[in-house]
Amino acid sequence: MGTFRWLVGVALVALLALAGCTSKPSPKPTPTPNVSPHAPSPTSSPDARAEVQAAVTAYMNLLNAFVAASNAGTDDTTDLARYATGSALEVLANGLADNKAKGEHTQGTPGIDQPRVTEIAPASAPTSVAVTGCVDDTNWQTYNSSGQVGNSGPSGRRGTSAKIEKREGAWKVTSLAIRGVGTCPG
Amino acid sequence: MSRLNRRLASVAALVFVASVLSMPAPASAGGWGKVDCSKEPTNPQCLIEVGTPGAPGSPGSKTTSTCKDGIGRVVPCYVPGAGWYGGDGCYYQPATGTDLAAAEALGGVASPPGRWYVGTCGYPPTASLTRFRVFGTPPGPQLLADEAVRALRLPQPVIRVNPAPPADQIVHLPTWVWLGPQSWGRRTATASVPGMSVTATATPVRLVLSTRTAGGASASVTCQGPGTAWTPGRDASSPSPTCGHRFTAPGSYPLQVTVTWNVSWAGGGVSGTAPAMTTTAALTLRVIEEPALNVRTR
Repeated sequence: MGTFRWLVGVALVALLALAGCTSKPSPKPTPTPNVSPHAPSPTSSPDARAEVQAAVTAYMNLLNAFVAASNAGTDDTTDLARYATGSALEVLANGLADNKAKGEHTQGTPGIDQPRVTEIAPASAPTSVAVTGCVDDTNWQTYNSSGQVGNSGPSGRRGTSAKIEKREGAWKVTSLAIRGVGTCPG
Repeated sequence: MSRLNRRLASVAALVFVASVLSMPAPASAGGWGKVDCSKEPTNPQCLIEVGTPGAPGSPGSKTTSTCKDGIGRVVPCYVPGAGWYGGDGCYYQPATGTDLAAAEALGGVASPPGRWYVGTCGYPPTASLTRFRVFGTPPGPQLLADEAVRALRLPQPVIRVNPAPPADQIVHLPTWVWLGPQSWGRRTATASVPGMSVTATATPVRLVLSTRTAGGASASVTCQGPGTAWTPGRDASSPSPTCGHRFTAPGSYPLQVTVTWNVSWAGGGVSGTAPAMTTTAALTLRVIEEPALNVRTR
């Protein structure tokens, strides 16, 4: 089965709900706005680079932690909570709970590609990063308690997108979408 | 049409103005830069004009839309010197030079056709609030494309059937199905701001006819085009060459048609596609045994 499948709808909705709500407009309208001349070139300091890398690592760690928990058949979210919060954590935690309730677990290892960074904000000292990536659950199947492969849809390469934010000093995935088979570009 | 042409002409003139203004703005910005849309929501710079051309027999429509920030405040869709609104509270222009180098150092090379943009956030955009973002489609055309696609008005399919209700369908005789004249054909809508215009086009590509079998199972057939209109004098026993059904038992049957429309858009130097749309209509047909010919019981 496509083990990522159950994540698809819910997580996508969560991500869309987040989109467009991130602006922090100035509290009062300025009567004669000085149109910003082009911003001074943001630097790519080693610090900023390390922050973006830490965000990407949180995404990778989260997916790997989810795979480990799912293969173990547990609904313990301690590891997930290290790398995720908000809707991303909720969706993954529900997935583990659902599997456990049905007596299902996973076996094998999905492919998890290093994601591409698509958003970095603020440019000089990032606290929010967005990525898109691909996962492949061809070799990561769900089994029921009697050891048979579950039957809940196709498996294959799926596109992902995630938002990762720095919360209280730690990078955490705050929204996560894993889409249907065939949505991974390239 | 002539009104459209005039508008296109003025758009072309404004392209020049816009390109001049998009150069790094001097400290005292041009007149457009002083527009605060929350105070002047009817200012042309704050509006996206959205229009659909008249279909045969119906007038076109022309409305306006606006760009809004995260708290619903109307903001310009384009700010000279800062770029196009990205839907996230920031204005974006392509990253070049040191900006591009910085973005790539942080996030890697963008995967084509995506490219890095530098965003200036808030309104008015604040130089100290910058961000990098990859756009596959440039934000300006994308924004107008979204509006144009939203403005598409697709016709509700008009179902035509032979034998024409209230006459009943006859068991084993072919039922012809086709769509009324306004149900099938290209529809367009255009969204524009001064300097740019994007047109979305919906093209009907598939008509699917759904009903159910005598056993209650669903049955559907994909027709060619909008079906073929029945004309008097045809052989009643010959099936429609493009779209129809043959009922095999008397009863009451639902008949649903679904038209699928492919949606594409073009403008601002780029083009793209949007998710397909569908329109549907349904009616109920009564099917009876063939009455004995030439015999009328009174």
